[in-house]
Amino acid sequence: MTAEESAPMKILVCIKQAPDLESAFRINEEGAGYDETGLVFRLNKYDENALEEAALLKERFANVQITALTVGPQRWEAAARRGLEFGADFGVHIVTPDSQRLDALETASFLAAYAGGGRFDLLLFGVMSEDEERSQVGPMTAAILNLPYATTVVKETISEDFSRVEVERELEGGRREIIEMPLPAVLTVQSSINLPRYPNLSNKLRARKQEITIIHASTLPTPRKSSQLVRAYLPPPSKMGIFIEGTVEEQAETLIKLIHEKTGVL
Amino acid sequence: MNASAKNFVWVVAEHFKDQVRPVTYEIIAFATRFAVAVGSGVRILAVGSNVKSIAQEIAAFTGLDVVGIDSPAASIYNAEIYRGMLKRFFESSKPQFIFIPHTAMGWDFAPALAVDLGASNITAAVGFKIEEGPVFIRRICNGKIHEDVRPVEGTSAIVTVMPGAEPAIERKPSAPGSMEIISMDNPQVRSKTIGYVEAPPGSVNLQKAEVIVAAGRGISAPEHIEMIRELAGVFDRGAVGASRPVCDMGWMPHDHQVGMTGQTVSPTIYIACGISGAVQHTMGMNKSDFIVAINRDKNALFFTVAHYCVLADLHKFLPVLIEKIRELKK
Repeated sequence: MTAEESAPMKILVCIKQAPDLESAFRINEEGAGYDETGLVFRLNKYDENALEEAALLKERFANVQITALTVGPQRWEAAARRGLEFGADFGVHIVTPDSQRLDALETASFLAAYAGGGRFDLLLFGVMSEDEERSQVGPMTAAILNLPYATTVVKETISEDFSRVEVERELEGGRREIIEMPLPAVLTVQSSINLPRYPNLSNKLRARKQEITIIHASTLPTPRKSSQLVRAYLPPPSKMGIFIEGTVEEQAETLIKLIHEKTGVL
Repeated sequence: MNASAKNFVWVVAEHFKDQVRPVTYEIIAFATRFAVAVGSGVRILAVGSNVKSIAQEIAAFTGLDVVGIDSPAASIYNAEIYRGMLKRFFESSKPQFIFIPHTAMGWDFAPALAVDLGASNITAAVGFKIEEGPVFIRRICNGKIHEDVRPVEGTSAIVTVMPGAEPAIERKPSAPGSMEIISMDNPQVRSKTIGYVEAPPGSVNLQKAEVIVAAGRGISAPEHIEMIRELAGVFDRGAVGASRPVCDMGWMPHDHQVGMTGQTVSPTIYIACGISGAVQHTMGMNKSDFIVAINRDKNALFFTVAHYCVLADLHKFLPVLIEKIRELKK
Protein backbone atom coordinates (compact mmCIF):
# COMPACT_ATOMS: atom_id res chain seq x y z
CA MET A 1 0.00 0.00 0.00
CA THR A 2 1.25 3.45 -0.81
CA ALA A 3 1.30 6.13 1.85
CA GLU A 4 -1.53 7.88 0.10
CA GLU A 5 -3.79 4.85 0.20
CA SER A 6 -3.24 4.26 3.87
CA ALA A 7 -3.84 7.89 4.89
CA PRO A 8 -7.11 8.17 6.79
CA MET A 9 -10.12 10.03 5.44
CA LYS A 10 -10.56 12.98 7.73
CA ILE A 11 -13.95 14.29 8.69
CA LEU A 12 -14.45 17.51 10.61
CA VAL A 13 -17.76 17.95 12.43
CA CYS A 14 -18.49 21.51 13.54
CA ILE A 15 -20.72 21.61 16.60
CA LYS A 16 -22.05 23.99 19.24
CA GLN A 17 -23.99 24.22 22.46
CA ALA A 18 -27.66 25.25 22.50
CA PRO A 19 -30.09 25.90 25.34
CA ASP A 20 -33.17 23.79 25.99
CA LEU A 21 -35.79 25.78 24.09
CA GLU A 22 -38.58 24.83 26.47
CA SER A 23 -36.97 27.07 29.06
CA ALA A 24 -38.24 30.52 29.99
CA PHE A 25 -35.91 33.06 28.40
CA ARG A 26 -34.93 36.44 29.82
CA ILE A 27 -32.95 39.19 28.16
CA ASN A 28 -29.44 39.67 29.52
CA GLU A 29 -28.31 42.87 31.23
CA GLU A 30 -26.62 44.21 28.12
CA GLY A 31 -29.82 43.70 26.09
CA ALA A 32 -27.65 41.80 23.65
CA GLY A 33 -29.09 38.31 23.86
CA TYR A 34 -30.63 35.96 26.36
CA ASP A 35 -29.56 35.57 29.97
CA GLU A 36 -27.90 32.18 30.33
CA THR A 37 -28.49 31.92 34.07
CA GLY A 38 -30.55 28.86 34.90
CA LEU A 39 -30.67 27.61 31.31
CA VAL A 40 -29.73 24.02 30.58
CA PHE A 41 -27.24 23.80 27.72
CA ARG A 42 -26.66 20.70 25.63
CA LEU A 43 -25.41 19.88 22.17
CA ASN A 44 -27.33 21.51 19.32
CA LYS A 45 -29.71 18.76 18.10
CA TYR A 46 -28.81 19.15 14.42
CA ASP A 47 -25.14 18.70 15.35
CA GLU A 48 -25.98 15.30 16.82
CA ASN A 49 -27.15 14.35 13.33
CA ALA A 50 -23.86 15.63 11.86
CA LEU A 51 -21.86 13.55 14.38
CA GLU A 52 -24.02 10.49 13.70
CA GLU A 53 -23.48 10.84 9.95
CA ALA A 54 -19.72 10.94 10.56
CA ALA A 55 -19.99 7.84 12.76
CA LEU A 56 -21.95 6.04 10.03
CA LEU A 57 -19.22 6.88 7.51
CA LYS A 58 -16.62 5.54 9.91
CA GLU A 59 -18.52 2.28 10.01
CA ARG A 60 -18.76 2.16 6.23
CA PHE A 61 -15.18 3.10 5.42
CA ALA A 62 -12.30 1.33 7.10
CA ASN A 63 -10.02 4.27 7.71
CA VAL A 64 -11.85 7.36 8.90
CA GLN A 65 -10.78 9.90 11.52
CA ILE A 66 -13.36 12.20 13.04
CA THR A 67 -12.58 15.55 14.67
CA ALA A 68 -15.28 17.45 16.57
CA LEU A 69 -14.67 21.20 16.56
CA THR A 70 -16.48 23.88 18.53
CA VAL A 71 -16.00 27.65 18.77
CA GLY A 72 -17.28 29.38 21.86
CA PRO A 73 -16.69 30.37 25.46
CA GLN A 74 -14.79 28.26 28.00
CA ARG A 75 -17.87 26.31 29.12
CA TRP A 76 -18.44 25.06 25.57
CA GLU A 77 -15.70 22.51 26.11
CA ALA A 78 -18.71 20.36 27.01
CA ALA A 79 -19.68 20.38 23.32
CA ALA A 80 -16.29 19.03 22.25
CA ARG A 81 -16.56 16.31 24.94
CA ARG A 82 -20.04 15.45 23.78
CA GLY A 83 -18.54 15.12 20.28
CA LEU A 84 -16.16 12.49 21.66
CA GLU A 85 -19.08 10.68 23.30
CA PHE A 86 -20.77 10.55 19.92
CA GLY A 87 -17.70 8.84 18.48
CA ALA A 88 -15.30 11.59 17.39
CA ASP A 89 -11.64 10.62 17.69
CA PHE A 90 -10.47 14.12 18.56
CA GLY A 91 -12.04 17.15 20.19
CA VAL A 92 -10.94 20.70 19.45
CA HIS A 93 -12.16 23.86 21.15
CA ILE A 94 -11.48 27.35 19.84
CA VAL A 95 -12.02 29.42 22.97
CA THR A 96 -13.57 32.88 22.67
CA PRO A 97 -14.09 35.42 25.49
CA ASP A 98 -17.15 34.74 27.67
CA SER A 99 -18.62 38.16 26.94
CA GLN A 100 -18.36 37.89 23.17
CA ARG A 101 -21.42 36.74 21.26
CA LEU A 102 -20.11 35.60 17.90
CA ASP A 103 -21.59 36.63 14.64
CA ALA A 104 -22.02 33.89 11.98
CA LEU A 105 -19.10 35.12 9.87
CA GLU A 106 -16.82 35.34 12.90
CA THR A 107 -17.66 31.74 13.79
CA ALA A 108 -17.20 30.61 10.18
CA SER A 109 -13.85 32.43 9.96
CA PHE A 110 -12.53 30.75 13.13
CA LEU A 111 -13.68 27.34 11.88
CA ALA A 112 -12.07 27.99 8.50
CA ALA A 113 -8.82 29.09 10.16
CA TYR A 114 -8.63 25.65 11.74
CA ALA A 115 -9.99 23.62 8.83
CA GLY A 116 -7.99 25.29 6.06
CA GLY A 117 -5.08 23.89 4.08
CA GLY A 118 -6.95 20.84 2.86
CA ARG A 119 -6.64 19.06 6.19
CA PHE A 120 -10.11 17.53 5.91
CA ASP A 121 -11.88 15.52 3.23
CA LEU A 122 -15.36 16.30 4.49
CA LEU A 123 -16.81 18.98 6.76
CA LEU A 124 -20.17 18.30 8.39
CA PHE A 125 -22.46 20.81 10.11
CA GLY A 126 -25.98 20.75 11.50
CA VAL A 127 -28.33 22.65 9.19
CA MET A 128 -28.69 25.43 11.79
CA SER A 129 -28.46 26.15 15.48
CA GLU A 130 -31.62 25.69 17.50
CA ASP A 131 -31.24 29.01 19.28
CA GLU A 132 -30.00 31.42 16.59
CA GLU A 133 -31.67 29.74 13.56
CA ARG A 134 -29.31 31.50 11.16
CA SER A 135 -28.26 28.67 8.75
CA GLN A 136 -25.20 30.71 7.79
CA VAL A 137 -22.10 29.15 9.31
CA GLY A 138 -21.88 26.06 7.06
CA PRO A 139 -22.12 27.81 3.68
CA MET A 140 -19.97 30.72 4.91
CA THR A 141 -17.23 28.33 6.02
CA ALA A 142 -17.41 26.64 2.60
CA ALA A 143 -17.15 30.00 0.83
CA ILE A 144 -14.14 31.09 2.91
CA LEU A 145 -12.39 27.78 2.21
CA ASN A 146 -13.50 27.86 -1.43
CA LEU A 147 -15.08 24.42 -1.14
CA PRO A 148 -18.24 23.13 -2.84
CA TYR A 149 -21.13 22.59 -0.45
CA ALA A 150 -24.72 21.54 -0.04
CA THR A 151 -27.15 22.58 2.69
CA THR A 152 -30.17 20.82 4.23
CA VAL A 153 -28.84 17.40 3.23
CA VAL A 154 -31.12 14.43 3.95
CA LYS A 155 -29.01 11.74 2.25
CA GLU A 156 -25.38 11.41 1.24
CA THR A 157 -23.59 8.76 -0.81
CA ILE A 158 -19.81 8.96 -0.86
CA SER A 159 -17.91 7.16 -3.62
CA GLU A 160 -15.81 4.13 -2.67
CA ASP A 161 -12.59 6.10 -3.15
CA PHE A 162 -13.86 8.99 -1.01
CA SER A 163 -13.40 11.40 -3.92
CA ARG A 164 -17.00 12.41 -4.67
CA VAL A 165 -20.32 12.75 -2.90
CA GLU A 166 -23.87 12.70 -4.18
CA VAL A 167 -26.42 14.28 -1.88
CA GLU A 168 -30.14 14.80 -1.70
CA ARG A 169 -31.12 18.12 -0.17
CA GLU A 170 -34.57 18.93 1.09
CA LEU A 171 -36.70 21.56 -0.61
CA GLU A 172 -40.14 22.85 0.30
CA GLY A 173 -43.10 20.48 0.31
CA GLY A 174 -41.02 17.29 0.55
CA ARG A 175 -39.29 17.68 -2.83
CA ARG A 176 -35.59 16.80 -2.97
CA GLU A 177 -32.76 18.09 -5.11
CA ILE A 178 -29.89 15.83 -6.15
CA ILE A 179 -26.40 17.33 -6.36
CA GLU A 180 -23.04 15.79 -6.98
CA MET A 181 -19.69 17.30 -6.09
CA PRO A 182 -16.04 16.41 -5.54
CA LEU A 183 -14.55 16.09 -2.06
CA PRO A 184 -13.40 17.91 -0.04
CA ALA A 185 -16.80 19.49 0.45
CA VAL A 186 -19.04 20.93 3.14
CA LEU A 187 -22.45 19.46 3.97
CA THR A 188 -25.02 20.82 6.42
CA VAL A 189 -27.37 18.04 7.48
CA GLN A 190 -31.08 18.15 8.18
CA SER A 191 -32.44 16.24 11.17
CA SER A 192 -34.19 13.55 9.10
CA ILE A 193 -30.86 12.28 7.70
CA ASN A 194 -30.41 9.77 10.53
CA LEU A 195 -31.45 8.89 14.05
CA PRO A 196 -28.52 9.63 16.38
CA ARG A 197 -27.75 6.70 18.63
CA TYR A 198 -27.05 7.05 22.31
CA PRO A 199 -23.33 7.31 23.06
CA ASN A 200 -21.94 3.95 24.14
CA LEU A 201 -20.22 3.45 27.45
CA SER A 202 -16.67 3.14 26.11
CA ASN A 203 -16.97 6.47 24.25
CA LYS A 204 -18.45 8.07 27.35
CA LEU A 205 -15.57 6.90 29.50
CA ARG A 206 -13.03 7.96 26.88
CA ALA A 207 -14.68 11.40 26.55
CA ARG A 208 -14.24 11.99 30.27
CA LYS A 209 -10.48 11.52 30.19
CA GLN A 210 -9.34 12.44 26.71
CA GLU A 211 -7.62 15.76 26.25
CA ILE A 212 -9.37 18.44 24.23
CA THR A 213 -7.11 20.54 22.00
CA ILE A 214 -7.51 24.16 23.05
CA ILE A 215 -6.90 27.03 20.65
CA HIS A 216 -7.38 30.58 21.85
CA ALA A 217 -9.27 32.69 19.35
CA SER A 218 -6.93 35.58 20.13
CA THR A 219 -4.13 33.64 18.39
CA LEU A 220 -6.14 33.50 15.15
CA PRO A 221 -6.68 36.38 12.70
CA THR A 222 -9.51 38.71 13.84
CA PRO A 223 -12.42 38.09 11.49
CA ARG A 224 -14.82 40.64 10.07
CA LYS A 225 -18.49 40.62 11.06
CA SER A 226 -21.43 40.11 8.75
CA SER A 227 -24.02 41.79 10.97
CA GLN A 228 -24.32 44.02 14.01
CA LEU A 229 -26.70 43.20 16.82
CA VAL A 230 -28.55 46.30 17.97
CA ARG A 231 -30.66 44.79 20.74
CA ALA A 232 -32.54 41.72 21.88
CA TYR A 233 -35.95 41.89 23.53
CA LEU A 234 -38.95 39.82 24.47
CA PRO A 235 -41.62 39.85 21.78
CA PRO A 236 -44.80 41.79 22.57
CA PRO A 237 -46.76 39.41 24.80
CA SER A 238 -50.23 40.56 23.72
CA LYS A 239 -50.45 38.39 20.69
CA MET A 240 -51.24 35.11 22.46
CA GLY A 241 -54.56 33.35 22.01
CA ILE A 242 -57.18 33.14 24.76
CA PHE A 243 -56.17 30.90 27.64
CA ILE A 244 -58.75 28.39 28.79
CA GLU A 245 -58.51 28.38 32.58
CA GLY A 246 -59.51 25.94 35.31
CA THR A 247 -58.88 22.32 36.24
CA VAL A 248 -58.30 19.88 33.39
CA GLU A 249 -62.00 18.88 33.62
CA GLU A 250 -63.10 22.51 33.36
CA GLN A 251 -60.61 23.19 30.57
CA ALA A 252 -61.92 20.19 28.59
CA GLU A 253 -65.55 21.26 29.06
CA THR A 254 -64.84 24.84 28.00
CA LEU A 255 -62.93 23.67 24.93
CA ILE A 256 -65.76 21.36 23.84
CA LYS A 257 -68.25 24.20 24.26
CA LEU A 258 -66.05 26.53 22.18
CA ILE A 259 -65.61 23.92 19.43
CA HIS A 260 -69.39 23.50 19.35
CA GLU A 261 -70.14 27.23 19.28
CA LYS A 262 -67.40 28.38 16.92
CA THR A 263 -67.21 25.51 14.44
CA GLY A 264 -70.35 23.38 14.84
CA VAL A 265 -68.14 20.29 14.55
CA LEU A 266 -69.26 18.79 17.86
CA MET B 1 -28.00 49.57 -15.68
CA ASN B 2 -25.11 48.56 -13.42
CA ALA B 3 -24.00 52.11 -12.81
CA SER B 4 -27.34 52.99 -11.25
CA ALA B 5 -27.90 49.56 -9.72
CA LYS B 6 -26.44 50.79 -6.44
CA ASN B 7 -29.38 53.03 -5.77
CA PHE B 8 -32.03 50.35 -5.84
CA VAL B 9 -33.30 47.79 -3.41
CA TRP B 10 -32.86 44.50 -5.26
CA VAL B 11 -34.93 41.33 -4.99
CA VAL B 12 -33.64 38.02 -6.33
CA ALA B 13 -36.66 36.17 -7.71
CA GLU B 14 -37.24 32.49 -7.02
CA HIS B 15 -38.70 30.34 -9.75
CA PHE B 16 -39.00 26.62 -10.33
CA LYS B 17 -39.71 24.79 -13.60
CA ASP B 18 -40.68 27.99 -15.46
CA GLN B 19 -43.03 29.18 -12.72
CA VAL B 20 -42.43 32.18 -10.49
CA ARG B 21 -42.75 30.87 -6.94
CA PRO B 22 -45.41 32.74 -4.91
CA VAL B 23 -42.84 33.59 -2.22
CA THR B 24 -41.18 35.91 -4.75
CA TYR B 25 -44.22 38.21 -4.66
CA GLU B 26 -44.13 38.25 -0.86
CA ILE B 27 -40.48 39.33 -0.81
CA ILE B 28 -41.22 41.95 -3.48
CA ALA B 29 -43.98 43.32 -1.22
CA PHE B 30 -41.53 43.42 1.69
CA ALA B 31 -38.88 45.14 -0.44
CA THR B 32 -41.42 47.64 -1.78
CA ARG B 33 -42.49 48.71 1.70
CA PHE B 34 -38.82 48.86 2.69
CA ALA B 35 -37.86 50.92 -0.39
CA VAL B 36 -40.60 53.45 0.38
CA ALA B 37 -39.28 53.75 3.94
CA VAL B 38 -35.71 54.40 2.82
CA GLY B 39 -36.68 56.54 -0.17
CA SER B 40 -35.54 54.17 -2.87
CA GLY B 41 -36.96 52.03 -5.69
CA VAL B 42 -37.19 48.27 -6.23
CA ARG B 43 -35.56 46.28 -9.00
CA ILE B 44 -36.00 42.56 -9.55
CA LEU B 45 -33.25 40.19 -10.65
CA ALA B 46 -34.04 36.77 -12.12
CA VAL B 47 -31.40 34.18 -12.99
CA GLY B 48 -32.08 31.29 -15.37
CA SER B 49 -31.89 29.87 -18.85
CA ASN B 50 -34.58 31.30 -21.13
CA VAL B 51 -35.24 33.62 -18.22
CA LYS B 52 -37.20 36.03 -20.43
CA SER B 53 -40.61 34.49 -19.73
CA ILE B 54 -39.99 34.64 -15.98
CA ALA B 55 -38.80 38.26 -16.22
CA GLN B 56 -41.80 39.14 -18.36
CA GLU B 57 -44.26 37.61 -15.92
CA ILE B 58 -42.75 39.48 -12.95
CA ALA B 59 -42.58 42.78 -14.85
CA ALA B 60 -46.23 42.42 -15.89
CA PHE B 61 -47.43 41.37 -12.45
CA THR B 62 -45.60 43.98 -10.40
CA GLY B 63 -45.08 46.90 -12.79
CA LEU B 64 -41.47 46.91 -11.58
CA ASP B 65 -38.33 46.84 -13.73
CA VAL B 66 -36.75 43.43 -14.07
CA VAL B 67 -33.26 42.34 -15.07
CA GLY B 68 -32.83 38.76 -16.26
CA ILE B 69 -29.44 37.06 -16.29
CA ASP B 70 -29.55 34.41 -18.94
CA SER B 71 -27.21 31.46 -19.10
CA PRO B 72 -27.72 27.89 -20.30
CA ALA B 73 -25.96 26.72 -17.13
CA ALA B 74 -28.67 28.23 -14.97
CA SER B 75 -31.46 26.03 -16.33
CA ILE B 76 -31.54 24.40 -12.91
CA TYR B 77 -30.76 26.01 -9.52
CA ASN B 78 -27.23 25.49 -8.30
CA ALA B 79 -25.59 27.50 -5.52
CA GLU B 80 -22.26 27.90 -7.32
CA ILE B 81 -23.89 29.05 -10.55
CA TYR B 82 -26.10 31.56 -8.73
CA ARG B 83 -23.20 32.86 -6.68
CA GLY B 84 -21.00 33.18 -9.74
CA MET B 85 -23.57 35.17 -11.68
CA LEU B 86 -24.81 37.32 -8.83
CA LYS B 87 -21.27 38.14 -7.81
CA ARG B 88 -20.47 39.29 -11.33
CA PHE B 89 -23.66 41.32 -11.52
CA PHE B 90 -23.40 43.03 -8.15
CA GLU B 91 -19.67 43.38 -7.51
CA SER B 92 -19.18 46.66 -9.35
CA SER B 93 -22.40 48.37 -8.20
CA LYS B 94 -22.49 46.97 -4.65
CA PRO B 95 -26.12 47.90 -3.96
CA GLN B 96 -26.99 48.62 -0.37
CA PHE B 97 -29.78 46.06 -0.06
CA ILE B 98 -30.39 42.70 -1.74
CA PHE B 99 -33.44 40.74 -0.59
CA ILE B 100 -33.72 37.00 -1.13
CA PRO B 101 -36.47 34.60 0.05
CA HIS B 102 -35.44 32.57 3.10
CA THR B 103 -36.14 29.25 1.40
CA ALA B 104 -34.16 26.09 0.64
CA MET B 105 -32.76 28.09 -2.28
CA GLY B 106 -32.17 31.39 -0.47
CA TRP B 107 -30.49 30.06 2.65
CA ASP B 108 -28.38 27.84 0.41
CA PHE B 109 -26.62 30.55 -1.59
CA ALA B 110 -27.11 33.85 0.29
CA PRO B 111 -24.55 33.36 3.12
CA ALA B 112 -21.84 32.27 0.68
CA LEU B 113 -22.66 35.12 -1.70
CA ALA B 114 -22.18 37.51 1.22
CA VAL B 115 -18.68 36.09 1.73
CA ASP B 116 -17.97 36.42 -2.02
CA LEU B 117 -19.08 40.07 -2.07
CA GLY B 118 -17.66 41.11 1.30
CA ALA B 119 -21.24 41.91 2.23
CA SER B 120 -23.28 41.77 5.40
CA ASN B 121 -25.73 38.91 5.76
CA ILE B 122 -28.87 38.76 7.85
CA THR B 123 -31.03 35.67 7.50
CA ALA B 124 -34.70 34.90 8.24
CA ALA B 125 -35.77 38.51 8.73
CA VAL B 126 -39.45 38.89 9.62
CA GLY B 127 -39.64 42.68 9.55
CA PHE B 128 -37.69 45.91 9.64
CA LYS B 129 -37.64 49.24 11.46
CA ILE B 130 -36.11 52.50 10.38
CA GLU B 131 -33.95 54.03 13.09
CA GLU B 132 -30.72 55.88 12.34
CA GLY B 133 -30.56 53.35 9.55
CA PRO B 134 -32.69 50.31 8.86
CA VAL B 135 -32.62 47.38 11.29
CA PHE B 136 -34.03 43.94 10.57
CA ILE B 137 -36.09 41.92 13.02
CA ARG B 138 -35.24 38.26 13.58
CA ARG B 139 -36.81 35.68 15.86
CA ILE B 140 -34.52 33.45 17.87
CA CYS B 141 -35.04 30.64 20.40
CA ASN B 142 -38.25 29.47 18.74
CA GLY B 143 -39.64 33.00 18.73
CA LYS B 144 -39.21 33.52 22.47
CA ILE B 145 -36.78 36.35 21.79
CA HIS B 146 -36.63 38.93 19.03
CA GLU B 147 -33.52 40.75 17.98
CA ASP B 148 -32.87 43.83 15.87
CA VAL B 149 -29.85 43.43 13.64
CA ARG B 150 -28.27 45.93 11.30
CA PRO B 151 -25.80 45.49 8.47
CA VAL B 152 -22.17 46.40 9.05
CA GLU B 153 -21.65 49.98 7.97
CA GLY B 154 -20.31 50.51 4.50
CA THR B 155 -21.19 47.06 3.20
CA SER B 156 -23.97 45.70 1.01
CA ALA B 157 -26.65 43.91 3.03
CA ILE B 158 -27.83 40.56 1.75
CA VAL B 159 -31.02 39.86 3.68
CA THR B 160 -33.06 36.68 3.46
CA VAL B 161 -36.72 37.29 4.31
CA MET B 162 -39.01 34.69 5.87
CA PRO B 163 -41.86 33.48 3.70
CA GLY B 164 -45.07 34.82 5.22
CA ALA B 165 -43.35 37.92 6.66
CA GLU B 166 -45.40 40.06 4.29
CA PRO B 167 -48.57 39.35 2.26
CA ALA B 168 -47.82 38.96 -1.45
CA ILE B 169 -47.93 42.07 -3.61
CA GLU B 170 -51.21 42.56 -5.52
CA ARG B 171 -51.15 42.47 -9.30
CA LYS B 172 -50.64 45.99 -10.67
CA PRO B 173 -53.12 46.78 -13.41
CA SER B 174 -50.84 49.55 -14.72
CA ALA B 175 -48.20 49.21 -17.42
CA PRO B 176 -45.65 46.43 -17.01
CA GLY B 177 -42.16 47.28 -15.83
CA SER B 178 -39.24 47.32 -18.22
CA MET B 179 -37.18 44.27 -18.90
CA GLU B 180 -33.52 43.84 -19.65
CA ILE B 181 -31.91 40.48 -20.42
CA ILE B 182 -28.16 40.09 -19.90
CA SER B 183 -26.29 37.07 -21.22
CA MET B 184 -23.51 35.67 -19.07
CA ASP B 185 -20.91 33.00 -19.62
CA ASN B 186 -21.15 29.93 -17.49
CA PRO B 187 -19.27 30.37 -14.22
CA GLN B 188 -16.73 27.78 -13.17
CA VAL B 189 -18.42 25.24 -10.93
CA ARG B 190 -17.52 22.00 -9.22
CA SER B 191 -20.94 20.87 -8.04
CA LYS B 192 -23.61 19.67 -10.42
CA THR B 193 -27.34 19.70 -9.77
CA ILE B 194 -28.61 16.50 -11.34
CA GLY B 195 -32.35 16.75 -10.85
CA TYR B 196 -35.21 16.36 -8.43
CA VAL B 197 -37.03 13.66 -6.53
CA GLU B 198 -40.67 14.61 -6.12
CA ALA B 199 -42.40 14.07 -2.77
CA PRO B 200 -44.18 10.73 -2.68
CA PRO B 201 -47.92 11.21 -3.02
CA GLY B 202 -49.17 11.20 0.56
CA SER B 203 -50.95 8.05 1.63
CA VAL B 204 -52.40 10.17 4.37
CA ASN B 205 -54.71 12.79 3.05
CA LEU B 206 -54.62 15.51 5.62
CA GLN B 207 -56.21 17.85 3.08
CA LYS B 208 -59.61 16.21 3.44
CA ALA B 209 -59.69 16.15 7.22
CA GLU B 210 -62.06 18.45 9.09
CA VAL B 211 -60.08 18.09 12.29
CA ILE B 212 -56.33 17.54 12.52
CA VAL B 213 -54.86 16.52 15.85
CA ALA B 214 -51.11 17.03 15.60
CA ALA B 215 -48.40 15.59 17.82
CA GLY B 216 -45.20 17.40 18.78
CA ARG B 217 -42.13 16.45 20.76
CA GLY B 218 -44.13 17.25 23.90
CA ILE B 219 -45.89 13.87 23.69
CA SER B 220 -42.50 12.69 25.04
CA ALA B 221 -42.65 9.02 23.93
CA PRO B 222 -43.80 7.18 20.80
CA GLU B 223 -46.42 5.15 22.69
CA HIS B 224 -48.29 8.35 23.42
CA ILE B 225 -49.16 8.70 19.72
CA GLU B 226 -52.02 6.37 20.59
CA MET B 227 -53.61 9.15 22.65
CA ILE B 228 -53.38 11.51 19.65
CA ARG B 229 -54.96 8.86 17.40
CA GLU B 230 -57.77 8.41 19.90
CA LEU B 231 -58.56 12.10 19.97
CA ALA B 232 -58.50 12.29 16.16
CA GLY B 233 -60.72 9.21 16.12
CA VAL B 234 -63.53 10.78 18.14
CA PHE B 235 -64.18 13.27 15.32
CA ASP B 236 -66.02 12.06 12.23
CA ARG B 237 -63.37 13.37 9.87
CA GLY B 238 -60.32 13.53 12.07
CA ALA B 239 -56.71 12.86 11.06
CA VAL B 240 -53.35 12.72 12.79
CA GLY B 241 -50.68 15.25 11.91
CA ALA B 242 -47.20 15.64 13.33
CA SER B 243 -44.35 18.08 13.70
CA ARG B 244 -41.00 17.49 12.11
CA PRO B 245 -39.14 16.20 15.21
CA VAL B 246 -41.84 13.56 15.78
CA CYS B 247 -41.38 12.30 12.21
CA ASP B 248 -37.58 12.54 12.36
CA MET B 249 -37.53 10.43 15.51
CA GLY B 250 -39.55 7.81 13.67
CA TRP B 251 -42.60 8.12 15.95
CA MET B 252 -44.78 8.92 12.93
CA PRO B 253 -44.20 8.43 9.20
CA HIS B 254 -43.08 11.55 7.31
CA ASP B 255 -46.30 11.70 5.28
CA HIS B 256 -48.05 12.97 8.43
CA GLN B 257 -45.71 15.94 8.68
CA VAL B 258 -47.27 19.39 8.61
CA GLY B 259 -45.19 22.45 7.82
CA MET B 260 -42.83 24.02 5.35
CA THR B 261 -41.20 20.75 4.33
CA GLY B 262 -44.35 18.67 4.83
CA GLN B 263 -47.97 19.35 3.98
CA THR B 264 -49.76 22.68 4.11
CA VAL B 265 -53.21 22.23 5.64
CA SER B 266 -56.18 24.38 6.62
CA PRO B 267 -58.77 22.22 8.39
CA THR B 268 -61.72 23.59 10.36
CA ILE B 269 -60.03 22.60 13.61
CA TYR B 270 -56.31 22.14 14.28
CA ILE B 271 -55.33 20.83 17.70
CA ALA B 272 -51.59 21.09 18.35
CA CYS B 273 -50.49 18.76 21.14
CA GLY B 274 -47.09 19.52 22.63
CA ILE B 275 -45.79 21.35 19.55
CA SER B 276 -43.43 24.23 20.32
CA GLY B 277 -44.68 26.36 17.44
CA ALA B 278 -41.55 26.75 15.33
CA VAL B 279 -42.49 28.86 12.36
CA GLN B 280 -41.42 26.05 10.00
CA HIS B 281 -44.41 24.13 11.39
CA THR B 282 -46.96 26.87 11.88
CA MET B 283 -46.59 28.29 8.37
CA GLY B 284 -48.07 24.99 7.19
CA MET B 285 -51.28 25.27 9.25
CA ASN B 286 -51.86 28.87 10.35
CA LYS B 287 -54.79 29.31 7.96
CA SER B 288 -56.86 26.75 9.88
CA ASP B 289 -60.19 28.18 11.12
CA PHE B 290 -60.01 27.20 14.79
CA ILE B 291 -56.60 26.57 16.28
CA VAL B 292 -56.07 25.06 19.72
CA ALA B 293 -52.65 24.63 21.30
CA ILE B 294 -52.09 22.36 24.26
CA ASN B 295 -48.72 22.80 25.91
CA ARG B 296 -47.23 22.73 29.38
CA ASP B 297 -44.77 25.52 28.53
CA LYS B 298 -46.59 28.81 29.17
CA ASN B 299 -44.21 30.61 26.83
CA ALA B 300 -44.68 28.16 23.94
CA LEU B 301 -44.65 30.06 20.69
CA PHE B 302 -47.66 28.08 19.50
CA PHE B 303 -49.81 30.05 21.95
CA THR B 304 -49.27 33.10 19.72
CA VAL B 305 -50.64 31.23 16.70
CA ALA B 306 -53.53 29.51 18.52
CA HIS B 307 -56.95 31.05 18.98
CA TYR B 308 -57.35 29.07 22.21
CA CYS B 309 -54.60 27.94 24.53
CA VAL B 310 -54.66 25.13 27.06
CA LEU B 311 -51.80 25.30 29.53
CA ALA B 312 -51.77 21.71 30.75
CA ASP B 313 -49.96 18.40 30.84
CA LEU B 314 -51.08 16.52 27.72
CA HIS B 315 -51.09 13.20 29.52
CA LYS B 316 -53.62 14.51 32.01
CA PHE B 317 -55.68 16.71 29.73
CA LEU B 318 -56.14 14.55 26.62
CA PRO B 319 -57.71 11.50 28.33
CA VAL B 320 -60.24 13.81 30.02
CA LEU B 321 -61.00 15.61 26.75
CA ILE B 322 -61.41 12.31 24.84
CA GLU B 323 -63.69 10.93 27.55
CA LYS B 324 -65.90 14.03 27.62
CA ILE B 325 -66.27 14.14 23.83
CA ARG B 326 -67.22 10.45 23.84
CA GLU B 327 -69.87 11.08 26.50
CA LEU B 328 -71.25 13.93 24.43
CA LYS B 329 -71.47 11.75 21.33
CA LYS B 330 -73.39 8.98 23.07
